[in-house]
Amino acid sequence: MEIRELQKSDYTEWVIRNTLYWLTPYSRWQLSDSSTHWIIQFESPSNDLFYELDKLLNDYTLRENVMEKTSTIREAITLNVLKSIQQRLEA
Amino acid sequence: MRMLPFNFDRLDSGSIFLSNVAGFHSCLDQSEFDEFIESSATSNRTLNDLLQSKLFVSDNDNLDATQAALSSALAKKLLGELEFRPIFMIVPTLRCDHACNYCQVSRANAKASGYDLDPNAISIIVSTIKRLSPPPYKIEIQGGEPLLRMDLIKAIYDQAESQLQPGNFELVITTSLSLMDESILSWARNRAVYFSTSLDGQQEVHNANRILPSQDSYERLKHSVKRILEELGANRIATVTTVTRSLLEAPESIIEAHLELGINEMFVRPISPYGFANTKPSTEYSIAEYMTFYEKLFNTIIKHNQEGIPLVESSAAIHLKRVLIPGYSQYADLKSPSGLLLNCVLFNYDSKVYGSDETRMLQRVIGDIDFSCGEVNSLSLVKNDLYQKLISSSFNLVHPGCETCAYQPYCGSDPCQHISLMGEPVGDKSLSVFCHYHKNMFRFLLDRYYSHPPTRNILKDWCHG
Repeated sequence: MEIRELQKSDYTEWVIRNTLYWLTPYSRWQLSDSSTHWIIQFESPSNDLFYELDKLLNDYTLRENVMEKTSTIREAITLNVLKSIQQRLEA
Repeated sequence: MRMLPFNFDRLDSGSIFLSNVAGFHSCLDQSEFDEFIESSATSNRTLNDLLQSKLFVSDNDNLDATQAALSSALAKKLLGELEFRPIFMIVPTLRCDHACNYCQVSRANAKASGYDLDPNAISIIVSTIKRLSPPPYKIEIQGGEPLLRMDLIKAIYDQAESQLQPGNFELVITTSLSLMDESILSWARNRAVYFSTSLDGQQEVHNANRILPSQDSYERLKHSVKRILEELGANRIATVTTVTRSLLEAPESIIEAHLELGINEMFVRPISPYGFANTKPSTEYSIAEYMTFYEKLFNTIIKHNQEGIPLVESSAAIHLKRVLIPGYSQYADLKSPSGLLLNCVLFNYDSKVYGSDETRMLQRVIGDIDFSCGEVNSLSLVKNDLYQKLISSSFNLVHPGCETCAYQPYCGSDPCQHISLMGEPVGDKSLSVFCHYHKNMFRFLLDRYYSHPPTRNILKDWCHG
């Protein structure tokens, strides 16, 4: 059993939850939080687990960055796709 | 410049693979990627132009047009994948002369009764095929061992010739070839008949997997393949290799087996976790173990190609085609929404109709849920709302785990496998065999494609013929 505490100012809940999603094959985990930290309890800690944790935290932070920069465009694309499909179905 | 939505993955060689919803992709090195994330552009002007042409970035003046192009490409892709272009499968019998360790559909003993198709159903099946889809038709005869009922296969062909017209269809018989004889060869000679067979390695491995009472499955297969090649030609026979634990240590056995039989093209896949296929501990292995095996196999195949022996591994070709050829969607496993029903209609020996081979397997495992679309006489693609639910829950674009995956535009969705293993159709992708297999295949193949130019040339040949 090992506990990792990550600062909420460093990682959003989206990054934490997406990261943990892919860690299930490495270890069972439990997420809780305090006012300042995400608290993750790992049942089967290992070097592979923590290597993967750091990699995923980094990559999901980058993905979040991309999503923030593109969120309005993403929504516009979704709307356009739905309109386009509707038009083709009605044609 | 404005960055447009994309996903990324890190390849072993250090490159970063980018893709967007339209299915465009690009590979950047670490410093280019860092620059791109930071400032929506790299210091390489040519690369910036390329990223712009592939809709990863847009200048502010053209943002509306670029958004519209991305949207249109995604809509076209989705509509393409929703097209109803099925392979029609017919199961003349569930009986089989083999008792293989990992049989995916269960089987009935070769002498059992009550497991054969009613001959009177054949005319209705073929007329249903005609009503469901325009030509050309691909009809796949599945089993059991279909050659046990060659009379039914001939009747199916005759009905197809009469109702669908010659030239509009081809018949693919999926068989172990153990019952192949000269009369079948002679019948097939001037007909649009093809054979697909399982080849699990050389004699020792094949016979250990493919169990006949006479213990000579490989020898029979070898003789039959030789006769098909001599009498019908190389284009009439294809192989599928299902990798069992005994093959993991001997990838070269697959290559040697194909060379021994004079076949240059192979289709190699991991054992299916469905139903009856993986119930014995001796056959279990992880996708990580499979990929270690596959890398050795792949490297040896590439080496043979470099030495002038033109071997092709079709599962690699299919994965790469999904990335490299826009609109390629002929492989039901790599479709989103799932190819269930849209790419397959299966007429079972008991007159039930299923949306895929996997659903009939599920039916054998989970008997208390009806996975069928009814019987051939009362077929309804909408009556069983299970299909509507399965197809609508199989858009990987919105699946947890897939929505941020760089391979999502090329990958598929397998609600049946997830039901089989996890009890629900979406599945936890972190534990999904389907996800692990396809993600690792894309990652491995794209890494080789982009990091090793001599290999890339061979892979291009596989994709583009």
